[in-house]
Amino acid sequence: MIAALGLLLGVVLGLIFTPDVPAGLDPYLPIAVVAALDAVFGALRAYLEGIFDDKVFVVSFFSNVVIAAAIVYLGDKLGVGGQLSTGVIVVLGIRIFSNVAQIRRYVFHA
Amino acid sequence: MAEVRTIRDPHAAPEPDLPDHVTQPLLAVITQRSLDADYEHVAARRRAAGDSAPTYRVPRIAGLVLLVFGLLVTVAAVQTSRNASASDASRESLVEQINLRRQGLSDLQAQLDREGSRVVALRARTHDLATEERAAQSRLERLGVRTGFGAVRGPGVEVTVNSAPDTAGGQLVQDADLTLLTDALWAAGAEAISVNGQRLTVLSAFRNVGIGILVNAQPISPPYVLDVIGDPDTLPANLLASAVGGKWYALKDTLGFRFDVRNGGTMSLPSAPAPRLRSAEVAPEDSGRRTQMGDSGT
Repeated sequence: MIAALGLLLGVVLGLIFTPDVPAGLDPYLPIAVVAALDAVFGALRAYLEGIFDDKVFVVSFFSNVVIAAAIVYLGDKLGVGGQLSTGVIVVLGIRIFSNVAQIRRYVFHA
Repeated sequence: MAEVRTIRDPHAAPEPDLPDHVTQPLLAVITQRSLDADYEHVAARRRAAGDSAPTYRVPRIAGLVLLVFGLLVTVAAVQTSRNASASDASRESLVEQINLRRQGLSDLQAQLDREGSRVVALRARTHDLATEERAAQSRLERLGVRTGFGAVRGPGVEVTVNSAPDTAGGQLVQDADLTLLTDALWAAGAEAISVNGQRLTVLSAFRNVGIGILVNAQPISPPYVLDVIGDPDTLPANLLASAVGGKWYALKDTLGFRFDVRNGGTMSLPSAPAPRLRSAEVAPEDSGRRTQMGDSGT
């Protein structure tokens, strides 16, 4: 309940304020969002498995976001930003898919 | 995941002490470890502590993080759509610019075509003018030969005139005598005459100065050698036959001038110095050139 409330509030706040992202951070935002998505789905799966832990969630969320953005930033500096962000997206995408598959199993008891 | 493992590793069971990420393909490991190991770790620790009940409560901090997550997603979406409109706008302006430039290019192309046809027309005109100039040049040369303002060469006769050897001072060759002789030569078919190296032009005249004669403002003295270009075969005969020639022969016989006509072979006659026009100007019309020549011709 509180999770859905938080999510809704975040979306509403984002829509109301639509804060400007500094131009320098612009390329890292999508990667950060994908990393956050991975953390959220991981947390959901852990919740459904009954092993959710808030501390782990908070840490994994922020570390995911920061590390993903940092990898892409480093790649940009090295001139391989495109390739590195592709790699990050692939890994995170696979994790998201398998987590969602697991969640589906729990939700539909399949 | 076990299937993957058996497919990838058809041998006997792998070494038990090797970790998964060594024995398994990368994608399989990623898939298998899609859940953060920390959750398992914490759960295992909690189980060890005796708290084995599964936890389904969501603390406030998780709600806060989800708020951050929602914010992040929304901001990213808003930013992307904003960027999309911005890049659309820039794309549109680029397209507009392309069209403008293309228009400018076609304008320039049309101008190039126009200029090209102008160049062709001008080139044709230049060609015409060059032809005209060549014609005028050859006309000028012809006129120069005729009028005495152009060097000529050709077969001719050499005519020598001198006063009588025993003259008592009164019977020198004078300007009127030379005028008569040259008139006779012109009448006999002479085409160019020079007297002691002075080319006779249409403006030339003989004038007495002391015992000498002035021609082309240059003094000449006897004996007078006239280089005459003309047919050497017919010229002496014509000179005799013509009326003016007859007058000349009568005169020279009367005054006792020494007179000698002989074949001069091929002769080269210099051109007279061109007179400087002080008052006459080239008329602006097309006939200007002709007018100028007419000036020197009269």
